[in-house]
Amino acid sequence: MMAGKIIEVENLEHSFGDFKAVDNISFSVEEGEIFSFLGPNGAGKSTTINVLTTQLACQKGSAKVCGLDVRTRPHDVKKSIGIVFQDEVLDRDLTVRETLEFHGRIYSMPRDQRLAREKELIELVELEEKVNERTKNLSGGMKRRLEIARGLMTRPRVLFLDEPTIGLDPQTRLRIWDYIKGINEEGTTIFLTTHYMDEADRLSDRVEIIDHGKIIASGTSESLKNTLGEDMMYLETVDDEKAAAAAKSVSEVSEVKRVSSGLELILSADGAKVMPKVLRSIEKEGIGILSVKMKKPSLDDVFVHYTGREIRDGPPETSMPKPRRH
Amino acid sequence: MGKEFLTIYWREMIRFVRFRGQLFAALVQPALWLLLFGVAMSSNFASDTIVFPTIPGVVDIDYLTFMAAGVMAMTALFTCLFGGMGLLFDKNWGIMKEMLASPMRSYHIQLGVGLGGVTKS
Repeated sequence: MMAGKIIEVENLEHSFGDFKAVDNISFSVEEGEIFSFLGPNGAGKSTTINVLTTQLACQKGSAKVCGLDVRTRPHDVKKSIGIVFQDEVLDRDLTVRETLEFHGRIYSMPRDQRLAREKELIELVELEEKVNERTKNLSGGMKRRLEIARGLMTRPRVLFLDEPTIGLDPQTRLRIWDYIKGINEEGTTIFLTTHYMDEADRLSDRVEIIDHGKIIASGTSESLKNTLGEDMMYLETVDDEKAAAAAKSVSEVSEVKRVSSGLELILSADGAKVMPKVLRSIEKEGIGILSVKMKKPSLDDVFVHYTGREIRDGPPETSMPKPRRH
Repeated sequence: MGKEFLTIYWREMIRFVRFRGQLFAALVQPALWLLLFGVAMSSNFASDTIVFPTIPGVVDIDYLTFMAAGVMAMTALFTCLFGGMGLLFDKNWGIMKEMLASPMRSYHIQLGVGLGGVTKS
């Protein structure tokens, strides 16, 4: 498949009343990649997805999906995408098969293809035994699997997954990751939002971090981690203030931050070699060291580095905006 | 124009048959009305109405016929009202989102639900 830009967003802006949920963002997604869109609650992730999937009107700027403008050709955009919503969207009184059947029909799939796909997907998400079970009797993980299966009915060119593994146990998450990877290998571009950094790290080819409606970091997860330095070191001492000054004097320490439990050091060189130097310089000052820990920076650290530590409530209306058209 | 509205209609029908209560009410309620207010009260009314002279030129019908027309109209009214309320539930549970996200034109939803309401009543 030809690689090209499948999603292009330029200077997109979206406000709910006075609140600017998305503030002048631009980004693009290459065809065939898994793209992760990360951000704290209320950062503007879902709003962006809703604009891209034509659930919300494009207020300012431009957005193209598969080369089609969401403003002028929403109908064609809808034909080429699949969506798994953030919140549960299932008819509680339809069975598993009926849910898929309903979806296939409203997407005008031909009968043969629809039936074949249903069978294939029910096997894929391992719901064979629940085919005639109503969805309200399924467990949370099964519902989620069903929703993902439904999103795949039409073999979309782009699949939007809005926090697909929220509230699932590790086994189910692992399994869903496998599906997502498999689907991606078959040529579907994946647009993922998530709060789980390990998920983004393992799955995605490229990551973009959004906060307060603006994109604040982008790149591969490797490159983002590398901006944080080679290694991270955690220190607990009897006098953190003095120790911080001493640690700063070591040239390989690029950043010293005070965290609740002590000091966090970002090292620009191999931690195994820098650590003795740091410890020596602190001990020279006569400061007692209580504990030392070293680790590779994770995407979690990147995320916290860029978005800060405070907890967000998120404005109430951003995660589930009211449809405007009806 | 596609045939997607038939899918909406199909779903309405599944739900209709699946909720036994709704189906039962739709079939039994009119009969109940007719029985209770029609048959039980007609004898009372019959003795009252006998004192009024029949207006010339107006067709004389018995009370049950008059009642039946009313019950039919009322049933149609209420079922349609409840049929429309289904849309509200869809919106609440989020299935509306799925329908709106699909390439189906939105008038199919109206048409399908409307057709469902017609069948139910």
